[in-house]
This record gives sequence, structure tokens and C-alpha cells, in this order.
Amino acid sequence: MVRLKHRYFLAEIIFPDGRRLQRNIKSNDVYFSVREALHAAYGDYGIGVLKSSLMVKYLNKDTHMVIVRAKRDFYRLAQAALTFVKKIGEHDAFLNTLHIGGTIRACQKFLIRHHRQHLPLLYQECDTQEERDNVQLMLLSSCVDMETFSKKTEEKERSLSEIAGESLT
Amino acid sequence: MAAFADLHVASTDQQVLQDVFQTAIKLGFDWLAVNTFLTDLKGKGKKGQQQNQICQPEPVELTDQTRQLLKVEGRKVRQISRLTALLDDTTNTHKLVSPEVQAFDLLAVQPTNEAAFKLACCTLEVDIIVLNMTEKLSFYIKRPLVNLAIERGMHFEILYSPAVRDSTFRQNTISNALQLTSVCKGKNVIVSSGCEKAIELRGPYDLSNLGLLFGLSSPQSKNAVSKNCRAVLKHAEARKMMKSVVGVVKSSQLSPGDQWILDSKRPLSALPQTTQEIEQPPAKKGKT
Amino acid sequence: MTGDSEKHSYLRQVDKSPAPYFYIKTSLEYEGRGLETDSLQLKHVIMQSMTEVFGQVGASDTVDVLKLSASGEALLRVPSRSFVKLWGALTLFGKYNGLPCVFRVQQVSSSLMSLSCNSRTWDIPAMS
Repeated sequence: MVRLKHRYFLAEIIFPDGRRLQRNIKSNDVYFSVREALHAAYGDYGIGVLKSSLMVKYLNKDTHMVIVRAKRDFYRLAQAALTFVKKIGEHDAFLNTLHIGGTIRACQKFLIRHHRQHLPLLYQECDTQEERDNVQLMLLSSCVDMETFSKKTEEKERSLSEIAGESLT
Repeated sequence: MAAFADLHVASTDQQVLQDVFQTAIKLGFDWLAVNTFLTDLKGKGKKGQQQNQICQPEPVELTDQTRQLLKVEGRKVRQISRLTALLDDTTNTHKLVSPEVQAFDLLAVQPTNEAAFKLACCTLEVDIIVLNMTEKLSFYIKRPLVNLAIERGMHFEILYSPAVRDSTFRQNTISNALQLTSVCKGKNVIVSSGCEKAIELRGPYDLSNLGLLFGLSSPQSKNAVSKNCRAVLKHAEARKMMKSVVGVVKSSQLSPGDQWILDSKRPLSALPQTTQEIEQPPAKKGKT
Repeated sequence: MTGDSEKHSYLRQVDKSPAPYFYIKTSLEYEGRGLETDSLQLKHVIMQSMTEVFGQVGASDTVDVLKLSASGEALLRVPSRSFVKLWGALTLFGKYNGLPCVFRVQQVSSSLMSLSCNSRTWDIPAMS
């Protein structure tokens, strides 16, 4: 059975007027601004083609990350439309596409890795000692996570090779 | 090559119809179906009052100019009557087999919900399934149902004239048409106008290009205005005949166009011979 | 070989690469037939139809009005990649300034020469 396949865009909302502010954005706002951009760029045909599949799957209000879904046959139209977004809700904003994946899971995995890589940047922005300690702790825990993860994979590989060795002898 | 057909002319006004026919003939259509829309299938009222009278559309008188045009090009245009019934619920469908409805050449239903759509695909004896493509469909078009409908020789119709009229209609039409064509893989789709004015008509070659935007391939989209329409007409003919290969018509009821059959009838003395010829082969089979 | 056939010899050119341009012969008709079109307005109408149906990206393709005859027939040239789009946009175009109008496409071809005659219609001057 053929399945309707999608593409998921992981994008970051960037507000040109300063970064770390709590803004009240709804996923509907994102949807309509993307749709408007799509209509401007690709007209009625663009909307007609992607109407059934265009959807905001995930919106994080704190980190300003969104996952937008589009039909795979026409995902390039959506990709172009994402770059044409100028305004979300009532804020000036644009979208920076970080990753395009075939599943939401792939996007989530990428998002975690992306956040982990960007933790040191967060450290620079800290003002108080307390915050710095917090970030340091997080860094440490993420490193520990990674370490245990790599250890696990190592163990797995070792056991696998052992099994393979046994079977060989 | 099959002739081009427009199986949905929505207007009912005689003056407008004349205009529409003239334009359609100029554009190259050879089959034109005038639609009668039936908003509900309710039958007679309590006291025998007819709630909605169904009457055949009058044949459209062609203007002299159009006749002349046809004569020059050596073409013939045929007008077909068609009935489209809105299918809100699954009751009252017995009305579709009543003689006044069956008098129409083509039968179409427009299901508005899932149950009606299922009924139309699985059991109803109609030729065309129309979906209202100007709004978001309230149900999913399911592939098994569509496959069943295709197997039964029914066709799905895409109306393009709303797309000409309005921007939102255009978006919805494209969206729904794409959904439909992806489900039925471009098979058994017809594109017709549904026009109310002559200005909303488009030429057959324009439509075969438009089909590309609706997700059809180029041969499919050409068939959507020609071959598939012919298949619809043949299906309608077969529906009236039920399951048979030979139709019997009283010689007094023969249409003027078919009178030649009577003239070319063989003399009676020749008849027994032919029956013998037919009966011989099974006898041979029995011997061997 | 007689000298007669040599006289009628011609150069035959075959181009196997995909056609760079497509040509459309069309005319813009209004419902009342009361309006004249000049080439500037025609170009504007075409661009508007493209923007309506295919947006700014669709309208960014160059459409040239090669010729506009007095009878209202226009010859358009369009890059072949946006040919289907342009034709679709012309088909779906229905209104200009609130006036119902329609593009009647007479002929399309990948070579300009073949638009010189139309095998589908037989125009008799006395008829029209």
C-alpha cells in the first residue's frame, strides 16, 4: 500500500529585534504567515497543491523552534515559501530552516543535537554566577549523556564482535 | 479519436444555452450534456403532490449561424440530458430508478458525506460521481471505494468553471482534484465545465493542458475530455440495457436516425437459413 | 534526376534538442466585446493572470508579446519550461477589472513557422 509521504522542515524563528524574549506566538500564526508567503510566491496553484498537507506540527514558544509539514511531491514550494516569511503574528520575524527530514523523529533527533551543540553559546550570554552554574551543569549532563551513549554503543559493538568471534571459532 | 465532450452545462435558461452551445461548438465540442440539478431525492408528498417536478430539458435550438458552421465543418453535435442528484443521506435512492429519472441520458450523483459516497461507489446505478470541489471535502476519498467504482465503470467529474470564477474556489478545486487524481491514479476522471455562462467555457485543448495542473498525465488529461466521456455515454447506454448484448426496440419507436435498419431488413424467406447457420455449430460440438 | 527537382531543392533542418521556446496564438475576448486591447494592456493582463494562479515566482518567467494584430490575435513567446504554466494560467483566467473575459487559445506550437496556418479550423472569410 502506498503511503502519502511528507517532508518535515525544522526551522528556527528569528526575531531581528533581540533574541531571548518570551513572545506569545501561536502555531496558527505561523501557519497563516507561511500560507500567506506561499500564496504570494506561488499563487493559487501553490496553495491548492499544498493545502491538504501544510501544517505546523510543533512549536516551542521558549526556543522558537517550529516543525512544518508539507507534501513530499511539492515540498520545494513550501521550502521556498518558508524563506519568504516576513512576519509572524504581529512580530517581524523570519524563519531559518535548520533541517529537512522525512519524519518528525528525524527532526527531533536533529533538534536535540542542535541544542547540545549550542549550549556553549548560552554560557556566553549568562550574566549571573547562578545562571553560569546552571548552564555548566547542563553541559556536563549532556556530556555525560553522550558518554554513556557512546559507552553503550561501544559495549554493544564489543559484545557483537565477541559473538562474531565465537561463531567464527 | 474520440470526439470532445462537455458533460455538464449547468445553465437552464434557453437563451443562455443557445449562447453556450454556440461557443462550445466553435471550440470543438461534439457532445454536450445539459444538466438538471436535483437538490433532494424526496419523492411525492403526503397527498400525492409532486414535491419537485423533474422534467426533461428542452432541446436547444441552434442559431442559423451555428448550423452553418456545423455544415461547413461537416460535424454533428448531439445534445444529451443529464440529471445530477445531491446525495445527502442514503435514503430515498430508490427514486433514481423511477422512470422519470431514468428518462435522462446520464445520471450523476453528488455525495456530500462519507456514507453517501460509499453508497454511490458500491451500489448505485449511476454513471458519474461529482464531488463538490469548491469546498474542502468533508471526508477522505478512500482508495478501495474508488477502485470499486472504477471497476463498475463509473467516472469521477472535476468541474473547472468555479475555478475560473473565484480565487478560493480555484485553490480548493486544485487541492481536491489533486487528491482525487492521486487516489484513482488518473483513471476514470472526466473534466467538464459546469458553466452557467458562455464565457466560462474553455476549449478542449486548453482543458487537456489544465489536466496537467490537476495531476493527470498528458494522455490521461486528453482522455478526460474525450475518451472517458465516451466511456460514460457507453456506460449510460449499457445501464439502460441492463446486462445484455442485444437490445430489442419496437420498430414504431425507432428513432429517425435508426430508420435505415428497417429498410435494409432482409426478405423473410432468407431468415430461416440464417437461424440454421447459427444453430449448426453447437450440434457439431456434440458429435465430437 | 531531372533539373526540375533540383530547382525545388530545399534545406531541411532537424533540431533534436528540446525546443527553447513555445509560441501561443491567442486572443483576449471580453463578454460584451466592447473593449479594445493594446499590447501593453495585454501584457499586463497576462502578467496578472500568471501572478494570480502561479504567484510572483510564476510571473517571473518572461512572456513576450511578439505581435498583436488588428483583429486582436496575439502571438506570445514563452520559455518551454513555463509553457504549461502560462497556458494553465490563461485557461483559469476569468476576470479583468471585474469584467468577465477569456483567453481563447487558437494554436500552440514549439516553432513559430507552424502557427502560420491552422489545420484544425477552416476559416472562411464570409463566415466570420
